[in-house]
Amino acid sequence: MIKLSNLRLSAGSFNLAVDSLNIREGEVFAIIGPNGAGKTTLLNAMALLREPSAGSLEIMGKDALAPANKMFLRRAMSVVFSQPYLTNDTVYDNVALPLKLRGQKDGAAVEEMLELFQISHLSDRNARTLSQGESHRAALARAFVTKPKLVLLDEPFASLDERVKASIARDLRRVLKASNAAVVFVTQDQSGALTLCDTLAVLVNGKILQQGEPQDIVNRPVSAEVADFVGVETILSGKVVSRQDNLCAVAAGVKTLMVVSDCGGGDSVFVCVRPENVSVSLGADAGGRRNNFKSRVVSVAPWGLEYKVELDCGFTLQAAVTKQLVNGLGLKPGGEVYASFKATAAHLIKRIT
Amino acid sequence: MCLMKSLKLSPPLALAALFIFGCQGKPAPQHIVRLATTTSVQDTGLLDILTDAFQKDGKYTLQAIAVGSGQAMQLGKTGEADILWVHSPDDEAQFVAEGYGTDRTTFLYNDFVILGPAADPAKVKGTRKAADAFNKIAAAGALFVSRADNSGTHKKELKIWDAAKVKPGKEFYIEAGQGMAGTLSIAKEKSAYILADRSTYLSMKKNIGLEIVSEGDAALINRYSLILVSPARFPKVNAAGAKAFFDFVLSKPAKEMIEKYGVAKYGRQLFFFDYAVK
Amino acid sequence: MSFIIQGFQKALHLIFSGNAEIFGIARLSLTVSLLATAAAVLAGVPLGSWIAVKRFPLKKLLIALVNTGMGLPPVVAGLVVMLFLARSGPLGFLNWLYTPTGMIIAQFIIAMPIITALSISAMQGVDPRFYQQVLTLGASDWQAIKVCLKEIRLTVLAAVIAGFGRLVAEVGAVMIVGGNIRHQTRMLTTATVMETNMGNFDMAIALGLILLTLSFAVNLALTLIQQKKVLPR
Repeated sequence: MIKLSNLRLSAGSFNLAVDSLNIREGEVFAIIGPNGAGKTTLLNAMALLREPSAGSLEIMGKDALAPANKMFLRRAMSVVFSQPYLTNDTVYDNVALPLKLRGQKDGAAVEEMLELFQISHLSDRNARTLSQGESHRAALARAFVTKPKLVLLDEPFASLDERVKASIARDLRRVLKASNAAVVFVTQDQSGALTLCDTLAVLVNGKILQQGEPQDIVNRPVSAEVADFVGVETILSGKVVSRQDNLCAVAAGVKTLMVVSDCGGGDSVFVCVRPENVSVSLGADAGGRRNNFKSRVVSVAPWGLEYKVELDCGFTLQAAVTKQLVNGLGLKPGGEVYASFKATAAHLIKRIT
Repeated sequence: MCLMKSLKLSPPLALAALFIFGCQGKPAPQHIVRLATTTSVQDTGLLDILTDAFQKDGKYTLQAIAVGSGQAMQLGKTGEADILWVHSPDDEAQFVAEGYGTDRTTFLYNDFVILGPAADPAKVKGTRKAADAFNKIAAAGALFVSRADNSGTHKKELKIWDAAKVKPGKEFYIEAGQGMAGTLSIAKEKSAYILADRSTYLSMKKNIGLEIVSEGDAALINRYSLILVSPARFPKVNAAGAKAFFDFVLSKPAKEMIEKYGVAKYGRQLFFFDYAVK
Repeated sequence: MSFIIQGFQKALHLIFSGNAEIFGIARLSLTVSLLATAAAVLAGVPLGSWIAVKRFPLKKLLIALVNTGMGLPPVVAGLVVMLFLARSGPLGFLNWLYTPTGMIIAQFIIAMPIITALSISAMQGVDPRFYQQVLTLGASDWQAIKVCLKEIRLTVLAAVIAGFGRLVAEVGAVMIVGGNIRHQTRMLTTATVMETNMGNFDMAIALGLILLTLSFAVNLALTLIQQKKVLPR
């Protein structure tokens, strides 16, 4: 669907440099990265709104940088920004606009989209009088009315509150599934991205640091920067002191951790541990987990639906603990617990020194 | 480059250009006779009645451009006008001598008057010769307002200063750069002396509160001439049309119209026809 | 003072007596200024919008030039048009000097920078992301400009009103290019100047009043159209 190689784009002092990106038909592709990483610039390039200074971009088998293909490709895709950008017309006219621009007839197609996004009753309302959630629904209906083969979403719904966002996301997912369109979306909300996408790319400072299946990236980030962004809360620097088969002993500070990895002995590494992989118990029995440390609770703080517990076990370890367990174990700062995780639940990143 | 692209891309722009350059059925040039004349001919209203009479048979349309004599001459020198009706004898002679025009015919006159405030601070009243009157004004250091617009009136005024052997241009000399009426208004406000053509004076008499302090000198005669712009020099000139207007103005019916003109409105004849019509 | 009262009386008399010459003059004034405004809108609004939304080298310089053009003295525009249309000028073969067409061209040149500059600033008031969004909906550059113009139609109409107001009151250019020829190119403004020069101040004021009345009528119509488009808030 999209093939991109050696793309270079400069905007002021910012430089986007994407060596290769391949988005397949029908796939949901997420690009995540911190603020200012160049996500929107990259999306704008794919939306043919920004011309790259070098490189090649192929969309649906056509050279997207050739001016002759621009209109065709633009009309084959849809783009949704974080703001709905509706015109000062009725909701119906807004949704019908892409059809009118193509000289196609509206009517049934518009009604269908209004139905799908549950805004039929707003058809005759002026779009400027809608609530935020309704506006986003109208913008989505407008984006899908042309049955695009490719949909680009730039931080969709970033400005919406959680409840409205969830409800719109549900409808969007339903429509996406039915449409079989390829979807590229950029966001800094990694947890949302993980649940939606087939493929994930992490963009930092204008460069794609890693792309692949989301579970792979989450569990095996290739760099500390990626690890930090995909929710690895504990990143320790250490050194592989010995290795037996795949099992490495890593010296990190005063402690030694056991991690399954293909790093070689003597390698300098980062040890990554995701908080949800850490178990906390009062007893010393680790249930076969190779890493088990007596720890002191430093802090307990709400974290989404769970709690994040910071532990001091000779190094700082973050653990995700359910509310029930926090109450059950009576976790509070200063308390003593055991923290354990499997050798397969940690991940080593080779440090280039 | 980018701009060019946009011009090519812009259908509304092309449409606008088409609209501007395509509209208006323009009159066939051979029916148009372009007369360059002076404001004094237009401002008295004489031009309008002559135009109507000339156009009556529908053969020609007269485009009368009323400007100062200087600009009228200029329109002749660039072949813009077909015929001139002007009152600046020296320039006219030169115009013909340089080959811009032919058949210069002096056919009409009226006269200039020297006006001043009722109090007459320079004691000009009763002076017959225009040059003497100007001398007195200058000697008294009284204010004088000049049109200073290269018009026939302005040229005449400069000629009188010349004859008086006075070089105007000190602080008592106000250069208005305006038409006759505008200059008269300034003279009124400043209580100054001024040289004006009689017809404009008569038409504004009730509003300006200036009086005639000197009149009747031969030097104050204002002679109008017709000049055909040379078709040899300017091929685009409508020679036939110009000649038609030329012949019309120098005809008996035109003479009668001119001699009657002004009697009803101002109580006296404004223009004097002195060409021997056939 | 008495001139003003006489002027009013004369204006009323001229209007209600159905003076054919005055009606002809008024009609020509309106026709020339409206056509020149329309042409300037057809050319200036797309050009201004295009300048506003596109990136190109020397864009700021071009905008500065257009803004300078807003201050172009009408007599200068008139003089240049006259020199071009003169028999001896490059466009002399068209025979447009001293015709309404010539006056429309001169007034077009005066209105064009005004409408263009106001369109630039109106269009620059549109969020660039909105313009991009319209492009992504499948619009060509001009379609997107059209959609944006619809959003800012109130401001654009204000530009039209400003341009027409400038033209209908303009005297310098039409005097030079039109020549104030009776029954042909005499407009309300040039007739007013002529009557003033002839000392007929009451007539001049009457003409001025008729001009103001016409201008008011046109502006009222445009304003009504404009305000109808204002959304109830």
